[in-house]
Amino acid sequence: MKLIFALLFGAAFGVCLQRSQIVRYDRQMGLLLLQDMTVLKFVLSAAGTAMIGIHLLVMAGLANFQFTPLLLGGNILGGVLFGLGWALCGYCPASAAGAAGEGRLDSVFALLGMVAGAWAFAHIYPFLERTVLFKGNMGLVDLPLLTGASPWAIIAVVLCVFALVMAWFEHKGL
Amino acid sequence: MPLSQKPKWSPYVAGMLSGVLLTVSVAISQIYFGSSLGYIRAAGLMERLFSPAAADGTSLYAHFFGPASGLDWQTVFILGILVGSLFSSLADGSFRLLAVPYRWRERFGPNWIKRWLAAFAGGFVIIFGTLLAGGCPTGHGLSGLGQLSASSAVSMLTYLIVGILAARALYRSR
Repeated sequence: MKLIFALLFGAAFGVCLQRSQIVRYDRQMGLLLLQDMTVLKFVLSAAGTAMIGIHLLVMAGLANFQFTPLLLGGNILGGVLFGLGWALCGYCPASAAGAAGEGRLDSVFALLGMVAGAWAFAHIYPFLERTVLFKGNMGLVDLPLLTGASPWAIIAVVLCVFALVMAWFEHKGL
Repeated sequence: MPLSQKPKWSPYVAGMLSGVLLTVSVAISQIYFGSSLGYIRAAGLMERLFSPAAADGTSLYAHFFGPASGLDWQTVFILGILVGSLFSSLADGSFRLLAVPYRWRERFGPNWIKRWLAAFAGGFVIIFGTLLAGGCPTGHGLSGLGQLSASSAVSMLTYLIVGILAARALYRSR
C-alpha cells in the first residue's frame, strides 16, 4: 500500500519535472551557466509552496518536522562534491531518473554512476563517520531557531525574496 | 533549436504543484520526498545479488535493510519519477532517444563515449556529495527548505555556488 503511494507520488512528481523540462541537461546547465533560470524558478516555487503547506500541517498538529542536523563538515564538503559532479553530469538524483524516462541515453549512465557512487559511499562510510561527517555538528537547527524569529515571519520574508528574484529573472528574460 | 522553446508547463505552476504533492504526502503518510537514499538501497540490493556476505557486513546497508528487505519507499519513488516522465513524454510526443544533449554537443562535440563517461563520473561524485550532505535538491531543496532547515539552506547554497563555478570553468576552458 505504502509502495503504491510511492509510485503514484513519484509518477506525479515525474510529470511535473518532465513537463517543465527541468529534467533536461540543457536546462540544468542553463542554470549553472546563468543563461536560463527555469530550474531555479521551479525549485523556488516548489520550496515556497512546501513551506506554507508543511507549516500549516505542523501548526494543525497533523505532521512533524523530519529534517537533518546541520553538519558543517558533511553539508559543505558534500555540497562541494555535489557542485563539481553536477557541472560534469548535468543531472541530479531525481532529474536523472526523469531524463531516462524521456529517452535521454546519457542519463542512464548518470544513474549507473549514482548507484556506483552510493556503493562506494556505503563502503567508506565508517571512515567518513569517524572523520569529516560530524565535524561542526550544530544539531537539529532550523532558521527560526537560528534567528529567533517566528517561522511565519521567516516564511513571509523568504517568499518576498523569492518573488523579487523571480520577477528579476522575468525582467531579464532568463 | 530546442533550447529556445518554452517548456510545456510553466516552471512556476509545475513547482507549485510539486509543493502541493509533497504537502499531501506528508499529510497522509508523514513521508517527505527525497531521492538520494534510494540509491543506497539500490546499491545494497545489487551488491547482495553478487556478494551477500560483503553487503551484509556493510554497516550503512544494515542501517537501511530491515528483516523484510526489498524495494523501499524511496527506491519506488525514483522508479515512479522515471515512469511518470515516460508516460508524460510519450503522451505529448516529447519522448526522444538522444545520446548527447544539445548544450554538450555544442561545446564538446558529438562523441557519445565522452558524454557517457562524464555522466557516469559526475553521477558518482553527485551521489557521494548528496549522501555526505544528507540530501539532494529534492530532499534538501523541497522537503528541507519547506521545513526551513538550516542544513538544507547551507547545502543548497553550496550546491548552487560550486555548481556555477565548476560549470563556468568547464565551459570556459580552452
